Amino acid sequence: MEMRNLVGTEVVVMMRPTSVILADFDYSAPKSLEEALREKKERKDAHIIAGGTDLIPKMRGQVVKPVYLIDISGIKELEYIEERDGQVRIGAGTKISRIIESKIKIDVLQEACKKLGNPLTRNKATIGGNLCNASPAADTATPLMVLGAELVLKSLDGERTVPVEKFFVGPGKTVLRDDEILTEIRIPLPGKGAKEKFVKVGLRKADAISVVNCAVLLKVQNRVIKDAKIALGSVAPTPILAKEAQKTLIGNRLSEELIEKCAQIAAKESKPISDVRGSARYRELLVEGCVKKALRELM
Amino acid sequence: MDVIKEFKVIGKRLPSHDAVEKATGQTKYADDFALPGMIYGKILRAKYPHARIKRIDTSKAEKLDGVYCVLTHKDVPNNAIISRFGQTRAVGGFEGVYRVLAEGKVRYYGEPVALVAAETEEIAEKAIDLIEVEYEELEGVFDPREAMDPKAPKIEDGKSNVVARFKIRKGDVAKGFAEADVIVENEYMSQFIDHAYLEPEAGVAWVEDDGSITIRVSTQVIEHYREIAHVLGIPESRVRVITPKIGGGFGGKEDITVEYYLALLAWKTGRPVKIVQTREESLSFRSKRHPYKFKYKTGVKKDGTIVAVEAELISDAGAYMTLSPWVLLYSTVNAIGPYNVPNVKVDSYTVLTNHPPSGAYRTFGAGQACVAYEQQMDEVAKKLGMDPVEFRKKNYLKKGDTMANGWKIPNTVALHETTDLVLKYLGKKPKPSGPKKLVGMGIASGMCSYGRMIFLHDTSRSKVRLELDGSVTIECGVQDVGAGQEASLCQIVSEVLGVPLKKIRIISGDTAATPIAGTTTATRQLYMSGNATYLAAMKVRDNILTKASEIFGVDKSELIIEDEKIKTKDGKSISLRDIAVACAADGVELFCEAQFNAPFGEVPDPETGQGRVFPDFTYGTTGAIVEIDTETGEVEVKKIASAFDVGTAINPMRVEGQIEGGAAMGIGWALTEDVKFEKGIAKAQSFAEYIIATAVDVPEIKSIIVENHDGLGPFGARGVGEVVLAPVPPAVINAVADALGKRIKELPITGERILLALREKS
Repeated sequence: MEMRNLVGTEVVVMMRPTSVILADFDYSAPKSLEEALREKKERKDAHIIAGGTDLIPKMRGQVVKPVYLIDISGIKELEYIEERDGQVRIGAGTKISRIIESKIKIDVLQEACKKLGNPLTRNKATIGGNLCNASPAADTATPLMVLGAELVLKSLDGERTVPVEKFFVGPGKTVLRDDEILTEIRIPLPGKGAKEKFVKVGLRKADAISVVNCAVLLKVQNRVIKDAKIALGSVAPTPILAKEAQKTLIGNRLSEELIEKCAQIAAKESKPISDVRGSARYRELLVEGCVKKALRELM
Repeated sequence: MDVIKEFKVIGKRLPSHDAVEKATGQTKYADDFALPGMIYGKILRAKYPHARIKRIDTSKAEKLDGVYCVLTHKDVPNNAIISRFGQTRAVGGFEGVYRVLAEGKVRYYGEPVALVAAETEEIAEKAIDLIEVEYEELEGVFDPREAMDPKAPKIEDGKSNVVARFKIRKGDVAKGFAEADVIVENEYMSQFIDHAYLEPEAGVAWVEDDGSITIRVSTQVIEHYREIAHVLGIPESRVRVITPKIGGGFGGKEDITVEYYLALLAWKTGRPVKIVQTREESLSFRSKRHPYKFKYKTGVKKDGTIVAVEAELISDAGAYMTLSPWVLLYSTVNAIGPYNVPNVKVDSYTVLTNHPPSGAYRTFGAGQACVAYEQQMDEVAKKLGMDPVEFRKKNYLKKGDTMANGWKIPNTVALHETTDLVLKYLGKKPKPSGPKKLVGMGIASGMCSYGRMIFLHDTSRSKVRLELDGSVTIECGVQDVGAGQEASLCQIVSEVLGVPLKKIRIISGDTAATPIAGTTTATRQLYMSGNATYLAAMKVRDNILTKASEIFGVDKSELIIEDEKIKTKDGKSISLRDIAVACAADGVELFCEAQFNAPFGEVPDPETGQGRVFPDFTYGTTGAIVEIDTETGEVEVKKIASAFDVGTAINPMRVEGQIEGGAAMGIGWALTEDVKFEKGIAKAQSFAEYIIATAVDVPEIKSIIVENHDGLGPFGARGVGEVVLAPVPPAVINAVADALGKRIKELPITGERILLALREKS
């Protein structure tokens, strides 16, 4: 029996959700990144599992039927938050709850992490998993986009870095190659004069998937906006930057009129669909509302 | 009955005996149980909401290694049965055919078609996928108004989809409306809501050495053992149902859940069988709160006196009749609410559709009526230009008034008091917290019966036994759904016999071991089993007092029982232990099994609806303050206050627990909860899409207990389990309407509906 279940703007066809996972798969739990990369190269059909908060429900719903699971949750070298070379570096295996508690401040990301899922999911879910799941509604994606973060993708043959906004290809799809694992998120320090804000609307205050989320980062000098980044989640096949809306801000001072104009342009830039959480029209209105809220907070 | 004047235990905030066990995870619920050699059952469900079954081929599934049996309707001794729901008396016209497994056709998406039992859950799941069913899809009907059309597809071939209708005729509405200065007409609705209990439907069944069958299952009604015996074609005495502590019921475990399937699989295989439904099965396929469509027409005088109300109620029964007529009767009797209206005309219908069968859900239809009549009260007040509170106060029922069904109220209706207390707590409507915010305040009053409909001739039994060491055992067939059904009985016995709670043990919920106490539904256990337990304890008390009066040579009335002693006024005393030993030596009975009978009556007149339906009602008021974000449509419930006249609070902590739970549930009903059926298929299939309020969505709740001590329960208690929910949704809905300056009539009032409504306005 097929049951249609909609996650964010991503359409997932749930087969019959079962009480037990039916897929017959092999499993390994490497203790080092190198070991994991070696396995990933050998078994290109393998799925990576970390916290499992996205993958396990999909396996129960028979949406994903893995043949091989590489469990990286035991790899301690992927769990860290550190400041180095003007960057904050976060290991892909770092739990959401640890990011929230971190003394290294990345306000907009931490705000988003606080609103992700519930305490149970935050204690299991990892930032790398939230990104690799590639839901258009992923709460960590939009903050990382406005921060200009880069992702480190490693394979046995080397590594490459990809700007986070280039990482997502479509719902559930990324540029990760079969032999690659996301290992690190590198966030340039926003610097002085940077102000950030994350706004999320879910169907309730907690334990909710974003109907729309929005991250904004402004760099302001003498009250004039020098740089602006606006990222929107759950309004297109991937999280997007509202580039036209950003442009309206640069070189100007924030005012009620400018906020209104910018929010309307952002709404036009979004390409939402209707799903179980809300109609396309509602999402457009929410983009306007969320952008206004975020900008007004930064005024 | 009022021998005990001053309470030592009743009304005290004493923790329940099972509180620590539950808080520390020690309680063994239905799924926390296994037997050696146990196998697992799974259910194959229909792929279409309405289709003929052309062919079922189970051969591949049967051949799978590890499969014990595959059953279809052909394997069920009595597959088509008359559904009766644990009542003592059969009442014609209220009972419909229910099929254990689909036969001939499927009537809703997810209807059980076949059963599998296998060595492991994995094998059982795989076997389910190997069963081939060929369907011929039929046109479905998903709207009860459309289903009323004689040309609509028929759920039961050749029969009308309208399975029950009721009427109320009081006074003359035409005359009433002619006298009215203002007439207000509106339509309202209420949506499909899931019970969302923590514990999904689950149980284990096994065959005993003597060939009888035992089912340990999460249920509100162990008395279903009678129907299970009928389905299996064996005597009722050979089926035993035990319910462990229940992880929430709310009416969803009033109907049979997995009992038939467990019994059939255990019966066929001879092995212990476990079934635990997934959350998706529970959400998509199990019974829901009946959705309703309402039409209301109210006539009022300029001074706010209501002169006439006309109402039409249509409920969606789903694919099988089950409890729908009874739920509809509750809605019908409650349709006018707690108001004194001289001229009333109510017409109500419940209609089969291709949705899963709708069923019992906390308030049993009274809550849906409250959602409608309390919105209508606000709308009428608005049209009159009158304060909604003043308008309500002008029309509240009071002692001696006559309800729409002609029942003259013999006891207190404390609605003025409950409303004043709620308003006092809420205070003045606060200012918005920011520029893009709107604040609204709403109020709603409601009522709900406690005890079952009197034509069911409801009874309950309980047994109390004083042990030789002065401790007490209670045996009573209550099902404890988590509301403290057991604990209240312990507190009653503690009061009557002067035994501390820690020395009382209660054994509950077992048809072979405990006296039958009836269903844990209809807010009836404290009323019914509370009274039965009180009677039993009073008999034991009388026996030991008689013995003590012989020993001390004083009259019984001179003796008091407290602190595990019987004392005389001049300071002599004997311990309960010694009096028990003395009684036992002389053959004096230290136990009593007592039966309490509710008032018995007949079905009301079908043409006028006149006649008493319920033993009594509980009344109360909820107030809510909400704040709306005009840029996102988000609603924050800032404050909830609820006040109910509970007669006597046996334990105020438990009453508050009920009020708080009712508030949290009511917020979800008003604002977020919706199963979202589309062509018979639920779109909300997990708790990621079915949105219940979380701890941070629920504000601080002020629970206000009013006690007028004139209920029908023990010590003057009234039932509270259901009524505490009824006024909450309309209070929140009215608060949202107050904030918006307009009413959104579709439920739930989601952020989306609010934001779109705000955009329409501007």
